[in-house]
Amino acid sequence: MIIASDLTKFYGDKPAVMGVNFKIGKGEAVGFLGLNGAGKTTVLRMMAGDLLPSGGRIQIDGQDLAERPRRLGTWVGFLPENPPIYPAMKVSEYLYYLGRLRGLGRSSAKSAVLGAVEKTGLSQVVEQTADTLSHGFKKRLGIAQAIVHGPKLVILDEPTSGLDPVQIVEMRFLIQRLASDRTILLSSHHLAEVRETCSRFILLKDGAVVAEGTEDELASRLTSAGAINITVKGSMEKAKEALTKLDGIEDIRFDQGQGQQININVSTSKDIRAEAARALVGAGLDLLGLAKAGDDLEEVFLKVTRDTQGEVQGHA
Amino acid sequence: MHRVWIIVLHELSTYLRNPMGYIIGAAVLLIDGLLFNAFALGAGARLSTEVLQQFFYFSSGTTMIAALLLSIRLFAEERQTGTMVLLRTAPISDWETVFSKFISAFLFLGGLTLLTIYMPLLIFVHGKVSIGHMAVGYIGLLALSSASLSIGLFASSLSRSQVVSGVVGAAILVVLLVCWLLAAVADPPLAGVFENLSLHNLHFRPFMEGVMHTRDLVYYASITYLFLILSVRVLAARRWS
Repeated sequence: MIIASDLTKFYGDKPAVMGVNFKIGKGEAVGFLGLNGAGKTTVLRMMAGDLLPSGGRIQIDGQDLAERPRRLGTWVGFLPENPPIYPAMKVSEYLYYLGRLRGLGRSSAKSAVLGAVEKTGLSQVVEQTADTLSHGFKKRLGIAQAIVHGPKLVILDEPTSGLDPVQIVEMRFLIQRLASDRTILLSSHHLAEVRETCSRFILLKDGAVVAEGTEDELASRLTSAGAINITVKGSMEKAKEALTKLDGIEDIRFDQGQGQQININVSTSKDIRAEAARALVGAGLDLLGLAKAGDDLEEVFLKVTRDTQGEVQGHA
Repeated sequence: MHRVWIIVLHELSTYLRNPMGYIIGAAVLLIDGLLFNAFALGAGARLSTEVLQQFFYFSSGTTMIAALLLSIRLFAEERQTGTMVLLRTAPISDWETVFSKFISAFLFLGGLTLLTIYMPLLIFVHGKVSIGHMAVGYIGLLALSSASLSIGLFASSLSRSQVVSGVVGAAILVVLLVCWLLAAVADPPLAGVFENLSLHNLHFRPFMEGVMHTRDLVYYASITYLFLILSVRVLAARRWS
């Protein structure tokens, strides 16, 4: 169990992280989301021991990292946004060096290198020097160094940044494989990647946690429960007349689409999808689409980054 | 402590993997050889002891420059390439990190310094010098290397630019070198302070002459320790920013 309590970081007088609290269970894969400058990297660097917090504490399995900072290096593996590599070192030498530095014996380090190389798909470049690797392989090497010593917790800061679409898919599978037997914390701007690899999310804004929970929990808490998007073909007036008769309508917005197509966004206090469908068809309109709105991570992300409506942390 | 040796071996292999290590090594041996031939051997008839003193005098200059060139990359390069995070997140203390970097550079420069031993040995062809004089001279060179490396290491911890680190390191070295000039124009007790702070004049000359004082060894050890501690403080401070 990892517990961050009241984690705070100032750069000079400027607060970067303010009183962040969260708990992460063993084996969880947790995604940190937020816009640039939200504090994601700062939080991850503090978790990795690369940066000291100005206040608060981090505990791993009940042990305070401030009291045993040297143990952190064996517990945690960290991939910064730019993979830290020694350009002139061969992949195998680099991983062996870091394995040894993080406490592995000679033979353990050798077998750990083989394991990390296999897990990250570096077999074909294992005898190449790091400066000859493509960006995708450098990212993989960055992950390999983060897992070579068998840490309990792996922290990945923007693991997919700068990768092409094929490499992103490969990286997603790699992270999913890693998440099967260890705790993973990762930050990314690619919401689709985070959704595919993480089971829980922590949303940061201006250095504070504004929401946390699973995708469903966040969606049900932060988006309007009854909001629906409707697409019809026909008269806008008829559509308005049909919908305003229904109970539970709070707000209706109409947008004229192509041709006679009309896009309607309805805010409601309850789920009125069935009634709305019947009313629109009964009014002689062609119903082209009807779906519940705002139930995905992207919608949640946009909502909390645009406006923070009250403190919602801790309700997950 | 074994992690210190892991970093030491890594750093030594970096010197050997990097052309800069060979270039600095070749340049030191070439310049030492030229100076020895031109000024120590080729300046007319001299006593063997004077030749040896001249050798140590010129070698001390190249040693200080080599120490600076070898040490300015130690932290600046790590910060420049983004690999400093590997050391900061490793299960080692800042002191171990600094000490291992220092030891690696000291071993490399020490090895390089000992490679010049064929020059004083040449004195035996036509003359005779005391082995003790030679040994004390080399101990002096190693002590001077140690102090110069620690100054370069400290300068390297201050900036991610090796150029900036080099300039800062050179400035500190020059200030400590010219302290004896300040001693000449200052009034007591300041004159005594400057004289004792001087990196070369007061403390290295006895080694050149084959005389080893404890106070000189303590001086070089103190300078080394001071700048290593300052480097540790800089690394610790960087964890906050």
